[in-house]
Amino acid sequence: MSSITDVVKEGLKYPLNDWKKVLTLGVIFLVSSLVSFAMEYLVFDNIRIISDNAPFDTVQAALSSLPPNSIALIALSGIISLILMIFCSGYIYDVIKYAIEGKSELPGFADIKGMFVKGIRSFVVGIAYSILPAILFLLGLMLTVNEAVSGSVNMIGVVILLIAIVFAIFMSLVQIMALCNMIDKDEFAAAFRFNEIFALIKNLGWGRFIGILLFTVVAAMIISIFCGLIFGAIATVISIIFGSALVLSLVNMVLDSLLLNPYMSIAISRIYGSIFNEANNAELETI
Amino acid sequence: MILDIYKDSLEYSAKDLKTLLILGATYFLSFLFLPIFLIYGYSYRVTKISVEGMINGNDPLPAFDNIIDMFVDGLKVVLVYLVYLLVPFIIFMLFAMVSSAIGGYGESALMAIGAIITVVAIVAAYLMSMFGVANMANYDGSLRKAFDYNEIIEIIKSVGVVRSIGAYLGLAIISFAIYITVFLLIWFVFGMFGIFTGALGFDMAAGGIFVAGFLISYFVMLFIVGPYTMILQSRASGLLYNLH
Repeated sequence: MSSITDVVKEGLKYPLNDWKKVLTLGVIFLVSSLVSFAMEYLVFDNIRIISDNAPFDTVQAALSSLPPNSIALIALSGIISLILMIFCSGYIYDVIKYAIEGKSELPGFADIKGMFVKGIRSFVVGIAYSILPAILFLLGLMLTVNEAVSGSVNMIGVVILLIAIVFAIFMSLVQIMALCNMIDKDEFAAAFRFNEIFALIKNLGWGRFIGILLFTVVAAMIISIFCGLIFGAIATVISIIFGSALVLSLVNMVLDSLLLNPYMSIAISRIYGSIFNEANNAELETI
Repeated sequence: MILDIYKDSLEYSAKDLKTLLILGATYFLSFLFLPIFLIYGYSYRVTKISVEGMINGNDPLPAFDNIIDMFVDGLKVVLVYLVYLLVPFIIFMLFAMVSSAIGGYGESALMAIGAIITVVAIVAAYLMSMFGVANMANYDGSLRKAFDYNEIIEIIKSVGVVRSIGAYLGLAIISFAIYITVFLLIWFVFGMFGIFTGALGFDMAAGGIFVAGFLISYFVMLFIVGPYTMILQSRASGLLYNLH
């Protein structure tokens, strides 16, 4: 009987097989985060304009005080980073697929259209799985902070809030299996066949499933802290040379999104795929 | 038998100075958080080789490579230690909470009993975690085997409870003695130098020698004595597990 943590070892080693592809994914991450960095800059500028001209009577008045093309720029940069993120999740889709098929190389970037379609698929699954907990959370929040209703209703809101958090954790666990199931069956509806998904998790055992995911999260956190410390040191040295605080966050961001984020997301997706494989093989053994 | 284990472990840990230095560098970098797990991963490897080997079996030191494997193994070992340590901690907290709710003389009496029980629990948890890690190494790194307490208790019983506690106590005394000896040795040498230099009238130079002595003792502790005692303990715990 071998250990399930071998899955984590294999997953963490997997991106090292082909550094070039990790870096390519890193470039996509980098462009996306640069765009959102620029967007934050714009948003901050516009908020300053609004706060200079405050108070306004209506929302329209506040919006019309801004320079006319800045709203369009913000929307455009949001859309660009969304599209790039969809490409990334399309690549992640392929990584999980390769893991399920047991291939040891990293997927390529050739099929751009296919990547986009796959990315939209996993994006939609993500939204579908998070929409119910989000609604529940918003409901709980609205009841909790509402001062117009009595205290007992506020308490109900707190309870709903707690339920929503537990529910969200549960849903995110199920979502991992659902995503893998969809990729394995190559069929969008497979992400929502709950009896299939729960049967898979039951094969693995809920304790084992949650345990291995927790283990992965802890390992990822430690690696992130380590990289954060090292990148932070590098960024600090460079920013002291340039004498600018903007350089600090920029260098930190470049290193993070070029190296750490693609490595971590590929490794974690590989681990997800391997977990699915374990669950699937356990099923075969019982038959 | 226990003395053989000590002898073997003491020799085994001194096999390779290079490994000690690499481990020492890892200790030095452990403020970056991740290297801590590499150290535990290395100690796991030592335990694994010892569990598979035998006393005076001329086993090699494990290589310091495959860092990712080492990291994940170290994380597992830390997890095992933490879970076992949680038990005495919870017992202590329970006693503290209950006794503070009682108040008066009952509080002191209950807390005294609680403290004794906690000490017993700490010893038990230490023993269980050491044998748990060795058991995990024996079963090819299966985390479940580290918490299979029925099996672990059986193994501890077959080795002998008193014998195991005695062995670990002896190990702690040996490690402490090594620390003290090395420390005193270095301070003796540099202290002599310093006193001589001071007696000759070079006061500032004597201060420099004391600083040098402090630095050298720090680095020797970090780079050689620390890793040495770490390997010593892992080796001994693996061999002790093998007695069952």
